[in-house]
Amino acid sequence: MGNLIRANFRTLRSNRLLLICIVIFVFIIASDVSFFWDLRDKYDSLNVLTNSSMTVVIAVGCIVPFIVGADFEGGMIRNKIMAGYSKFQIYIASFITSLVVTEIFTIFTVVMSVKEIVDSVGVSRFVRWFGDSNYKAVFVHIIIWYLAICLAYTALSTALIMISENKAISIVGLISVVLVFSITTGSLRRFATDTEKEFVSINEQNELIIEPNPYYVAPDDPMKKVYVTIDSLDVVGQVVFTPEQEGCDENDMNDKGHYELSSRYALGSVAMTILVTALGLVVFKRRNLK
Amino acid sequence: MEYIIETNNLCKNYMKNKVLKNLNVHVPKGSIYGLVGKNGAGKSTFMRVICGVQDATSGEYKIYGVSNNDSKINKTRSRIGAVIETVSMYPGMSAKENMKQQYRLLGIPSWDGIDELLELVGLGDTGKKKAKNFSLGMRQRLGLAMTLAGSPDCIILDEPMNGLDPEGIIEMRETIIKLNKEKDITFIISSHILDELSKVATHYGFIDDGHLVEEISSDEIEKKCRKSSCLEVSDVKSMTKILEDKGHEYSVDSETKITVFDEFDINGVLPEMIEKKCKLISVTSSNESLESYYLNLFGEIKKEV
Repeated sequence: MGNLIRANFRTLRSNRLLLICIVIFVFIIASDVSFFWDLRDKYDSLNVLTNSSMTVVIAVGCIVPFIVGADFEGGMIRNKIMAGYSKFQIYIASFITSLVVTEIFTIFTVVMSVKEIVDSVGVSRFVRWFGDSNYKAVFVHIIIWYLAICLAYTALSTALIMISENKAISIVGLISVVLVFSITTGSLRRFATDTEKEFVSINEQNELIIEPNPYYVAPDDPMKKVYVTIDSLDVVGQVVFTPEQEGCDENDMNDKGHYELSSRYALGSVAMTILVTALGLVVFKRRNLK
Repeated sequence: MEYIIETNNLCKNYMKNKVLKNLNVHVPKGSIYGLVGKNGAGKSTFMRVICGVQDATSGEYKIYGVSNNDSKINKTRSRIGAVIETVSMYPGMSAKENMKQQYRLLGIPSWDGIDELLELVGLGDTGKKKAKNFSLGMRQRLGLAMTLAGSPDCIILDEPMNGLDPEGIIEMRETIIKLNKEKDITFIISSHILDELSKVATHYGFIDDGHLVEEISSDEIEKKCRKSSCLEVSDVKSMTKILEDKGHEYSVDSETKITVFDEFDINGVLPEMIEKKCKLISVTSSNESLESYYLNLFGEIKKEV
């Protein structure tokens, strides 16, 4: 399978679309990191890994499988089969190639962020700051979660292109999946994440107002598990969750239960990857290729 | 006879549409096997199934004796090269880069032989020109060069003459014959240009509506196709004696019919026939080509249906 992966990388290397995309994405990330680092005092937080950076990384995860999957258009997939590779190997090699590129890009984003900080504050100050900082755990946590969510998007995109054999259909499929997840996020997410039974507020007359939380579902309610499972697999909702972590230090993360939530999301991303890849493999193996 | 590819009641359905119906094909080693059939007969589907691009619905096929149900089939398939319908290539790469990519896939460690293969198919001077800018003929040739990477024992070509100019057709034909003769590569070729196919093929498989109508060697077909006269006579026994005396090659088709091959003049045997009281009922002469053989064969099928 090594030869197959090497061939896939060679395909990517000669693809101009990917090159253009990466240049644009690097520019976005660079300006994004720079912008948020300038605002670090205002937010007093680790804003270097931002929502838009993540979106860009996810975009790479979605685009790369489409380029690797362009084999269908040139008919090279036939040559791969004729070269003695099984459909299973072809699928997994495509996934691995895309994943490696995406995760390298993710790590690159993180390195860019760190470099930006180092350039601004100097190496010694950065080391001291990072070593002493209670942001360290948050930082590591977010990176792991980043990698996990990119994994899920790469798996999703790979499955779509391998199943449909057509870029246009795959793009429509990807948009549909994002839409379905967005609707899920909008409608079900709060049932899974809201832990407050009641809202307490003070009105203009300084009276304490206690209102029941309509989204609250008791932990022992069987539906809670369903909501939590759907929420964990909702990779679109996870991206929306990112800004909520920004501005959090370690104490905030503990208080708000963000550690638990982002861990669950990371596991959800991995579960989503396994699920989507298994499904993609089953369909791809049965598919009549042209 | 050793067969490189053989199928046993091979079936392929697309939903309810049965494309291959108990197809039994036998491709002898070292042959140039011409697959003949009209559009939609199942030629390309047969090729796709053999190449592993699509799975058979039922039945079995063997490549070098390895069954499609055997786990070794993928490895065995790497001994075959194929160009089915469109040429498989990376449009954004040059001919040489495409060849290198094919070498990578096959796990060939060095690029030795790439230039020779490109020269062989007449693409040695394409330089950095990208494959997407190639003409149809050049693509066909690149496809052939790519199938030759890894020195396959068998090559499957679906309509290889498509898009080629007359010179290109001759070059392609000569390349196929050369590879078959010099490297003992078996070819399976489907083509609608029967005249061209008849110039290269050593064996034929006639496919109609997903099943094999006839499998025949070019020698046999030549015998059937060569100039002949069909005589309908009252006494076959006497007639055979006359023909033997005159040194004619013949075959007895029925109790009243005899086919006499090569040049035959009925006037030359009339006196003997009169002497032996053998009446001539009718005489028809024919000079079949592969095309007319095909038309006769499929005409008969239509009549049967």
